[in-house]
Amino acid sequence: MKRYMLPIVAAGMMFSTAAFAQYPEKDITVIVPYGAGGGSDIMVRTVAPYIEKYLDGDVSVVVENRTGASGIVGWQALHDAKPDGYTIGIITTPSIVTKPIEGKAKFTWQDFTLIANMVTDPAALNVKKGSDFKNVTDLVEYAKANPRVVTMATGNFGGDDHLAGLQLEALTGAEFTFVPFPGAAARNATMGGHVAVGSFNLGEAVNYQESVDILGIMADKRSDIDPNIPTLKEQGFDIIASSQRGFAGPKGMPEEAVKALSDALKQALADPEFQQDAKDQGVVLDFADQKAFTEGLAAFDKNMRAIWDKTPWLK
Amino acid sequence: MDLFTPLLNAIPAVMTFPNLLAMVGGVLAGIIVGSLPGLTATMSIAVLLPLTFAMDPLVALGMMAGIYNGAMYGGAIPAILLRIPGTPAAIVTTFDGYPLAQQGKAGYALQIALLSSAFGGMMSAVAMMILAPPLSLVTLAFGPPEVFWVGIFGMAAVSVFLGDDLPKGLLAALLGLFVGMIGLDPVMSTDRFTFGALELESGIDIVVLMVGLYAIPPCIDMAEETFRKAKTGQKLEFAPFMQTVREIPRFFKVWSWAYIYGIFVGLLPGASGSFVSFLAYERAKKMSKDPQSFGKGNPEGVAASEFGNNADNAAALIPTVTLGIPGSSVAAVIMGGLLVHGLQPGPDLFRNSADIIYGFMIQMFLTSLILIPLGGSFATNLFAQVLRIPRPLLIGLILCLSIVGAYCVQNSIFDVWLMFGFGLLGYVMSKTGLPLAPVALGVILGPLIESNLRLSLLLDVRNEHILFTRPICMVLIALLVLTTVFPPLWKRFSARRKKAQDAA
Repeated sequence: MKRYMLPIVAAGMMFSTAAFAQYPEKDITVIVPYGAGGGSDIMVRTVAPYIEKYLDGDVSVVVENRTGASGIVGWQALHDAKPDGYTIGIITTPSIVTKPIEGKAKFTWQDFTLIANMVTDPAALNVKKGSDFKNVTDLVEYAKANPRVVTMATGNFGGDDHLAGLQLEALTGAEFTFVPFPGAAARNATMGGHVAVGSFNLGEAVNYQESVDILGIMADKRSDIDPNIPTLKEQGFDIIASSQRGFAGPKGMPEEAVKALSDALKQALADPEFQQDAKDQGVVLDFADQKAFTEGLAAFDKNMRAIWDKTPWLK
Repeated sequence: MDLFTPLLNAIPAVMTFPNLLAMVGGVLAGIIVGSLPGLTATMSIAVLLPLTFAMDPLVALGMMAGIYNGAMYGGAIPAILLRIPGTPAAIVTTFDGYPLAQQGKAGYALQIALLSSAFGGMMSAVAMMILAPPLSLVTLAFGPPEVFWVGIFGMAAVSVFLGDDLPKGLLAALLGLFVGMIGLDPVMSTDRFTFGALELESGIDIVVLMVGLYAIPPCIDMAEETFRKAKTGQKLEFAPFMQTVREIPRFFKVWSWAYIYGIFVGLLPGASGSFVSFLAYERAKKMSKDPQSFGKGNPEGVAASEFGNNADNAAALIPTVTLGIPGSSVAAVIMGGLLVHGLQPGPDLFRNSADIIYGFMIQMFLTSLILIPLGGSFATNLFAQVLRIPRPLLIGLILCLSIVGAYCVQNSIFDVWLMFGFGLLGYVMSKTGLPLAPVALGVILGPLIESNLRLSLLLDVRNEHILFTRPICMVLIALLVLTTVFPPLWKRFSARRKKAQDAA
């Protein structure tokens, strides 16, 4: 009898660990597809301690920067990782949707397990303080009367700022000259008066209102971060455009891991201390669970494919 | 005076024990990191950033200030001892630093580099303390057309670095411009010379290029030497430190120009500090009564380069803290550090967190000051031992560091292979007498000039030829003509007159 005890006990132990194994049991790696010190990186590093706090289990959240090719290098690594819930990453719109459309990536956003959205930073139209353009109507009227004379600073062509400008053109028939600046330089060019208008996100503009006027944000409703800023919608231009940042994992991640991470994120975003941190950094928080996040991306994907078929933003 | 009250108020906050410890630690770490080819200040601050989350903001910033200033000097150490620049900014330091070392004056060259770095850093911090808000206006006033001309200014400086054989020098400069074109083009985002490799889309990082070109060929050379004959270690001849200090007045003129260039280029986002030392060196050589001695071990060359690359440090932080626009890649990471502590750059930073931001400026000054004792006594003596390391060991060491450095840029093994590729290229270049510096300058300036030219052309919607008609552009063009076209004409003219007089 005795000689059978050991295997039985061992089998029993194996069974019990499997049954009672609780996610997470080891450290979680977050792949950030952009450089250390950048917007996405800071956001992840700021939220990481809160995720650690709200997850059951004493594990660390480790940030790994895998940069290159506007995020594609990092996402490829995330795509290829083992879907065990211990390697997750940040995905951002519009790139995660548009890069596959452009044919630059070997994956689409459907090849990932979405966990939850965290930030939705609405696109915004900004002018130098004291500009003649007092609202979006002024801008559009002038641009219609003088085609291509209005210069609009954006980020890279095909990025969210540029796509927002294209949507405004498509809706109104106005024509702008888009000038793609690298990084935060679009704001610099707008503040210095080198361009007539700058298309950059609310989060990049909200803390600089001493030198820029924000004509409007491309969101459904005004933002909690500064409710004084009007939307384009209320000025008669129904455009919704934003840059989103959320968490995702490789395809086939276990349900319980998604749920645990999503719950921890939700609690983190509700934490007043974290909310203050986010506000100071100009981060516009917007939690959406897996279902809502997926629906949002699907709608955006459809919209972008329609635009790409008609007027591709990259040639 | 109103100006100094916030500075004075911030002093007690800086003079705490953890803070001083962080600064000393930062400077030491910076020197070490800077002296290891491939490891840069940007990288080490980025790596240490998460550790600073739990720290008091000033302690964290003190450490970053220390690393930043320390690394800019640290880069000079291998540049002088081995002709391997530790950071891209130290490329120019190799020109005269290494010949000095070969003449047995490595210790003296290190002392010059140290003093120049320290004074450059301190003066840059002073500019930041006194003039940060008004100087940030320069950043705003310089749009793409103006930055384009600044880039052309830098390109004009390339003449000094072409070496004696003009075609070879030009070939190297063109090679640099070509390498700078690899990746997505700055306006239309079309792939250029990437051959479908995703890793090449963001272009070739200057660190990967520099490590390959500069660190690998000496390893091969040393290996060849070792096989030919075993070499015993050289000794560093240290001049008494005070004797070098007494020489300071000699460098005032060179330093002043390096200062002007450093502050100015620091203020321009996108124009990296590495090219300050090129500009400063060119000016030093042109001003010198004995330009022939440059490149053969003129201490003024080391002084110009090292003062220049540190004078850019605090200046690059001016647009960072006032406008939220980082003036260099290091400044971008430091801005990340500010954001993490809830310090949003902009005018509010000066109003709401005056103690922290003025404290940080004081730290930028102090870390440059403590560079003198730390760099002088500890680090320089320690690193001087490098020359005593048996060659085979040194080769292995450099190779390891090069691989780690290239890998760390983007955590990518692709970059390691790329680095070895450049290593082979560098070896072939050194065997065929092609100079390396024009390649680096081409890579640094090519993309800057191209993107600003194309942005300017896009901006010129009313066909006003803004590249030539904007006031600052006109001033820059005038300066360019004055400094590049007139001196050779003048030389020819006076030579002819002398001839005529001799004939008469």
